[in-house]
Amino acid sequence: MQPPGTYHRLKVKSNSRRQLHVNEEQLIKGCIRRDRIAQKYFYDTFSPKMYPLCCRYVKDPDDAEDVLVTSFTHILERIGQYRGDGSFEGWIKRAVINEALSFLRKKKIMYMTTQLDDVDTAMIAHLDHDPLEQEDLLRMIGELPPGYRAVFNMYAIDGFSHQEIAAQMNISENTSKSQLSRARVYLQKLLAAREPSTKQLRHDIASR
Amino acid sequence: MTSPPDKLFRQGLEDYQKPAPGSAWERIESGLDRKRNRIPWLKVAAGLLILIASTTVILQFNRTDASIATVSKESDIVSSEQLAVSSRQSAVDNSQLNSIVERSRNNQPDLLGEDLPVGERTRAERSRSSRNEPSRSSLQSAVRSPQSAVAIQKSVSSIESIQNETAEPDEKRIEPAALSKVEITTEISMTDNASDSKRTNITYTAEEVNAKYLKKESTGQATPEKKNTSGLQKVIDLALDLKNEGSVLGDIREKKNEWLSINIPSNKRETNK
Repeated sequence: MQPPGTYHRLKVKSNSRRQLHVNEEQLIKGCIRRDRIAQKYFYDTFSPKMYPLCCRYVKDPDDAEDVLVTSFTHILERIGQYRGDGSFEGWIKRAVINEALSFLRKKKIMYMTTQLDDVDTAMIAHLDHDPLEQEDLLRMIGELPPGYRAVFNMYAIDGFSHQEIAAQMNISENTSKSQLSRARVYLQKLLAAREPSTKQLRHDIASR
Repeated sequence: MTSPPDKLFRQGLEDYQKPAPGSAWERIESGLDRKRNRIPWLKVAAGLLILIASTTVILQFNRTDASIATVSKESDIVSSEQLAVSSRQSAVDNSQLNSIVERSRNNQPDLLGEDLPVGERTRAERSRSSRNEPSRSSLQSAVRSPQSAVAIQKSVSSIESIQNETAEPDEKRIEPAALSKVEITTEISMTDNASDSKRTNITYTAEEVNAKYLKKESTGQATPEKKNTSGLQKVIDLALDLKNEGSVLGDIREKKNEWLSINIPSNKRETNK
């Protein structure tokens, strides 16, 4: 017979949740009640997905962590605002992207651009003999200027339209389009330098 | 390679999972705790602010009320003291006036007769009583005290106007005018203490005196309408005073004539008369 107690009860509850794969609704209710175990479960579930997203938008890992912490704190505080329309993960993702964009805006590095023609050959040389992996893709995106990176991330990976990007970043749609095309050119140059590895990566992704 | 890299990056990174640094959860937790603890403090702070604001407002209102109340109380005390003083003075004044009126009654034949020094004395007394201090003190009390009524106000205004006239040289003053002033001062003292029945008697006697000894012309001259103090007006006033037998110059002329008639019984004087 196990001794009764709050900690034990919570522990059992937590274990049972893990075992039963607590559904989304229960998790949200737990987070609304500010149940710390539910909040931790929420973090454990979504942080591995959202942290790379933060790294895509913010190059520096520490900054990416800051964005993750801030966005998750906000999400857990305002989780009651989720009305159930659209996927829960999509709602979280949007919140994290908004936080990343506002971080870039605060740091005033959103439109800091470099000459895209000056491809970092040193980085390409560094990557030359290693097999291209997802982390390399992340690193390549990190090489883009922040504004271009944001537009490319939003359009190519996260599925935003140019209209949405223009509204989110307070730029015109034409600017969004031109930044996307320049980001593409830059990334193509990087990928061309790593053609064999890129082919291998394509094969790996296709085989998954 | 010509195809856009979008697909490669989307496929490679869309579902890419990577554990966040271990410190991230601790920071999130501490942030959540801080915000949870901040809410009661905010409520407490807001409550305190409201409490302080309301108390300061109430205290300020109370202070102003208290200051007004104390000021009014002080003024009441002062005015009551002044009223008491003035009533005392007016009582004294009334007794004096009584005696003066009686004396004037008694001395009236003297004034008309041959006892000149007595007549002069009564005149001097009357002029003194016309400019007596209690009337001024009662005026001051009427001005200061908020309770002393509008009833006094009218008499005060009349007093003021008359006092303006009394500021003029006494030689120009005529005797009945002085008497009318005496009457007004008694009326003031009466309004101060309306309950005193003796003062109504005084008023009556004053009116009686007024009716008996005042001339209508002279009362007309004593009205406060004469505020024009131009040279021409003074000359006209003087001329009118000379006609009046009750005036100072008239008295002097009378005395002169009497003296001349006694001491120099010449034909010339008789013809002049």
